[in-house]
Amino acid sequence: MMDLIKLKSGDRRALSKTISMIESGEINSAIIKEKFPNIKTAEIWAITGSPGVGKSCICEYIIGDWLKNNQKIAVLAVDPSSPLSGGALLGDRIRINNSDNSDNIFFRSLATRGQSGAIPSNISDILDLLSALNFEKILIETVGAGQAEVRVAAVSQYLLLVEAPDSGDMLQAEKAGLMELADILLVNKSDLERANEKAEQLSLAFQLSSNHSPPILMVSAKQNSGFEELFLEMEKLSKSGKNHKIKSRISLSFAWENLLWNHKDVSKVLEKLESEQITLDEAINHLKEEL
Amino acid sequence: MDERLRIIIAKPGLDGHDRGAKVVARALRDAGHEVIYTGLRRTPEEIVRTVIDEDADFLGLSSLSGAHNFLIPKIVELLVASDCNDVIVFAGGIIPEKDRGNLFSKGVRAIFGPGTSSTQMSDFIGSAVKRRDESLPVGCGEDSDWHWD
Ligand code: B12
Ligand SMILES: Nc1nc2c(ncn2[C@@H]2O[C@H](COP(=O)(O)OP(=O)(O)OP(=O)(O)O)[C@@H](O)[C@H]2O)c(=O)[nH]1
Ligand SMILES: [Mg+2]
Repeated sequence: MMDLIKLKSGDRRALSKTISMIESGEINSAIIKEKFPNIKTAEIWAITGSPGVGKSCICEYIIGDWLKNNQKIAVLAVDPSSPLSGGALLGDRIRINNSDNSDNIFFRSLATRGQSGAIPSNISDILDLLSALNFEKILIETVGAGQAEVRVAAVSQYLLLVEAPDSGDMLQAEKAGLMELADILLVNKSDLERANEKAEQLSLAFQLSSNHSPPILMVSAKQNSGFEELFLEMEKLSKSGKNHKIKSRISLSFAWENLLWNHKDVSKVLEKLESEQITLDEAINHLKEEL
Repeated sequence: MDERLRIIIAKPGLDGHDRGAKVVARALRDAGHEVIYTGLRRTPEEIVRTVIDEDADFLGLSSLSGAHNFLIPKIVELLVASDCNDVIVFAGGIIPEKDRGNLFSKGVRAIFGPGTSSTQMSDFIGSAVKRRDESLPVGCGEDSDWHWD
């Protein structure tokens, strides 16, 4: 079980063991909320974008900046589980050299473990735990998996969306969903040709949608350029403390979906649906009654 | 594979040979485990921090540079000092036969050389987990002569 005394004293091992228990479902939201009744929320940032755009490399700079201010920070780096073996290769540390060289940073790699989203569904419990233990800033690096990424907006306060000139284009619709939510758009790899072109395309896309236009910044993690501007924009956001209404909407549907998939009858109902013993309406009614 | 383990594959010291570590990391992933690869040139302190934060069951150290006699015992020592007696430590790379006895006596439970197959690794991991499940000593800080050969 969770060792509260050790946890509260700042014991890293107790923290990482507790996160494992959350991952495996041994500890649920109700227990976290009971043990830590007045959770003040940490500042939660998420960084997302297609595979290989440079999310991890950018994390290294952001972490470096935060560490300068002597803040207690936590990083959650998510990578996909293999649908075949159930295993996962969690490799974000390779590119984040400062992931393990200070006691002020807690760095945890998480596998998606076959859940439908690009972030594990119990990540919000992990975030609650970290907040309760007084981590000031939390950074989540997501799997670059497309539409399901929209969920990261639900658990984070601020969202950084990374693009690169050489990145495979996401499906338009998926990208639109994410762009709508991004607080800052980063075009990484500005050292490469066509980076300007990419940035222009993006700003054009925003000219067409009038109500939301996040700053578009060019950076190069390779050449360490553009990061001062990024830190300034992040600082501005952090001071504004704003929260999108749209994010609340997603939070709600995310939480709702969790309720559904954790419902005690869900597999029974699925089976009946599959064998056509009940209709979709009957299935929904049944689940609703029991909620 | 019936149990999903969390396994760190780490490259301590200045050793730049990473092919073997990557091969091993991939093989363990394909066996159904969650593998965290640290990347090159980690210090013993950094490796121990990673073991703790990631809640690792196993730590696999890859060494081809000849520094194993110093680095590996140092890492085990730090693990024990950090209350990680139960973490199971194994190693691979270029580690001559004559050096192995000493490393085993320091708590390393298996050493694999060039040409290791994934079946050999899985057999070791299976046996080590079985010992752990039976509460027999197998962690790096637990007192036992047991090792894989
Ligand atoms: C390729 C190679 C290189 C490449 C490395 C490329 C890379 N990114 O990895 C380059 C050219 C860069 C290189 C450089 C050097 N190398 Co070199 N290199 C080799 C060579 C020929 C093959 C290594 C290899 O990749 N094997 C293929 C992989 C898949 O096998 P593996 O690493 O052995 O891994 C297997 C097992 O050992 C085991 N394993 C490995 N790690 C782990 C970890 C765990 C947990 C487990 C369970 C198993 C496990 O499982 C793997 C799969 O079977 C070896 C000679 C040899 N035959 O081993 C020399 C060798 C390792 N190099 C050597 C040396 C001296 C050097 C240099 C110092 C200079 C030089 N003379 O070339 C530099 C140093 C570089 C540095 N910064 O560290 C020596 C080391 C001597 C020693 N330890 O006493 C060797 C042994 C050659 C020799 N006979 O002299 N090298
Ligand atoms: N040219 C150039 N390459 C970069 C830059 N930033 C990152 N890269 C390279 O892009 C590749 C991917 O970088 P990562 O940081 O691992 O990307 P990621 O988005 O975290 O990747 P996943 O986590 O696998 O989705 C690496 O080979 C980096 O070296 C940059 O600014 N310029
Ligand atoms: Mg990454």
